[in-house]
Amino acid sequence: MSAIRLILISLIAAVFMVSPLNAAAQIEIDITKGNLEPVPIAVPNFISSDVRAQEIGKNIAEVVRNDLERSGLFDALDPASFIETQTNIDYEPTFADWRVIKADALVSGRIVMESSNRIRVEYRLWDIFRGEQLSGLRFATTTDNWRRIAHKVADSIYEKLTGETGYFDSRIVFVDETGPKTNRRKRLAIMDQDGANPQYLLTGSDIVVTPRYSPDTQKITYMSYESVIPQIYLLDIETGRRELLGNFPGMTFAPRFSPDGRNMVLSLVKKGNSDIYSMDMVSRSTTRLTSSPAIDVSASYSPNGRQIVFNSDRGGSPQLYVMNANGSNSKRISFGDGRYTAPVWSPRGDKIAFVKSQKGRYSIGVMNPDGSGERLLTESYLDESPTWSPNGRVIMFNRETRGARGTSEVWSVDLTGQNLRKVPTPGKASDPAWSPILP
Amino acid sequence: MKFGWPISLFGHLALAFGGLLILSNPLDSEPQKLIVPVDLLTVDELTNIKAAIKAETPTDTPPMTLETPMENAPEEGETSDAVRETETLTTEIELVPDETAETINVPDETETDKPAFNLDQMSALINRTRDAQPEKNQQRSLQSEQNVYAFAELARAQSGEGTAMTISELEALQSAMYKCWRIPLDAKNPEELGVRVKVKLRRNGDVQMVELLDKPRINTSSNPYLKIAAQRAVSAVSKCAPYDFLPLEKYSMWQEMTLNFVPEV
Repeated sequence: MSAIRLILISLIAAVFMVSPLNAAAQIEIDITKGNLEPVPIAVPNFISSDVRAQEIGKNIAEVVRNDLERSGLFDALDPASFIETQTNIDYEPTFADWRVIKADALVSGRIVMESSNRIRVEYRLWDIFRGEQLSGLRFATTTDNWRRIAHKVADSIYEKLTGETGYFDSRIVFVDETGPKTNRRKRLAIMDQDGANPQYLLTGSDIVVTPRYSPDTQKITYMSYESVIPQIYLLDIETGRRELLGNFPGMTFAPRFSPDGRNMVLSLVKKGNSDIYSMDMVSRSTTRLTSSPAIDVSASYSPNGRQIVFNSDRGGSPQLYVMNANGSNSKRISFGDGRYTAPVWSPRGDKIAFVKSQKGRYSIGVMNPDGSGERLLTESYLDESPTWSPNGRVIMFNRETRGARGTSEVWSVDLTGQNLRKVPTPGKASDPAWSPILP
Repeated sequence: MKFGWPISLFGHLALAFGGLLILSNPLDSEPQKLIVPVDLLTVDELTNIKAAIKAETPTDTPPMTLETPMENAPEEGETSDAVRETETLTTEIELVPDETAETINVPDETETDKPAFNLDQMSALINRTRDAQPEKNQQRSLQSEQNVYAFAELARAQSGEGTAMTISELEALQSAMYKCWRIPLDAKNPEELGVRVKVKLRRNGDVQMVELLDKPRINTSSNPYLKIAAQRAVSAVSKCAPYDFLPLEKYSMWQEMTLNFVPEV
């Protein structure tokens, strides 16, 4: 009996010893390749029991679809292809119906009229294949503010599905141009990032260039050729109040805010030599950061404010350099053929955008802050003035065409070089500057 | 007898010398064998011949559909802001586990007090089997020979013994995943966005379960892209279903898999 017991114990022990081996024999596969196709998303018109709100719901859905589509990351499906018509967004959608039309995600929204001029906008984002809700949000606003709500809805969808913050609820300040190339009139204007709601910020008697947003989105610096010597101004968008930022004897160029808004970097020309200076926005005192006999211009802070990228011809031709925010430890980062100008550090910190001119053609390019991984995203007769979207994924820039009848337009391109699109503007436009996300 | 002692001495010396001669030579040992390395192969690496008798395809229960109404969004207070802060609309959908998918016999509560193993009982069972009439057992076996073969083939098909996933079958699975997986190459530092997923499949190729294997790392990570990468990996598994292109006879091989979603930078 004891021998049998021993055998049984051995058998049981053997079973337990073998089990992990069986588990280890499970198939394990590496999936290393995938697709970069836009994510198919269904955005039906937001529903409402009120006729007026139904119109707003239709408009909001359209803006959301356009925002997502223009990002290049989403394919907004045609509403005509939808099978299910939801009547209550508080119930789960019929996922099978949305799988049939190959939607990966669904946005179901509702408008509730709170009063005659106030609406409540609610939406739910569904993952069709996992069959679960990814987010559900509610916004309330006045009826005439529906467009901003639409951008906010698009931002939250974008964030939920990509992991990065959206950029749709932001604005572009740009220079509106009228007249022939030889006698252009340049006025400061502002519009939503999708080209909607364009407005002039200044009456337009003076010529302005290089507008730049402050981090709080309330102020804009720009250079004005109002007098013989160009000067830097600060404009409060809300109040319209304009202020001259110091009275410098020489030329001043390319002002740009630090990420915390306390300082500004700019180029000042003294005794015929252009160097980079920082300016304290409270005391208005300036500190010299570079002191080379070369032309040092186009400074831009890193998002953490510790470093500055700028353009200098100290090596013979214009190239990009990075230095500490106090001007120390300057190091060249661009070594390719051609001329590198107008560097702008990405808000997410991983790239620097620049303009490269070579053999009479201009390109917008990106490189890592250490100079590695240079990639050219565009090429044309003249591409210049790159500006980053608030999330660091899209670059907007100015494109000019050749000849006396040549035009000036604003274009955008994805960080990957895909999704090159013209940004609608009222007329000829240049020098775009992208705002941070609006509060 | 005068020569007795010398003869004895000579004889002993001869014996000793003869012994030395014999023992000084090594004994004939076994001829030294060459060590030939032998690769151990299992049958399933040599052949993929399928079972002669095909087992009936067991049917799976249809996938569960949810028709649970969500809780209505809570009411909110008035604010005077032009654009009020966003509020999260909550859903409380209780996912009911699909009990029909796999039948698990739950023992009665009254039996739970019994010990898991009673070795005495098991020994007695073995003894009884040993004492049973061998002729009777043999007759039974012969009578049900047909059933035994069928059962053996079914068991073989179910266990996948004698079969292995071929490279082309694995590649088909990879290709399918490539089409369904939105690779996070456009995210920041994509090389840090690898995700491991455990997948359980039903016989008909439907997904029974998808589980992230490194959930703690993903949940505690401050990298927002990692959460999305995990979300996309899980979605890709669901999106690619049904996996009905996988050979049924090898179900045991693919019913449970680990997929490593590692973007190739």
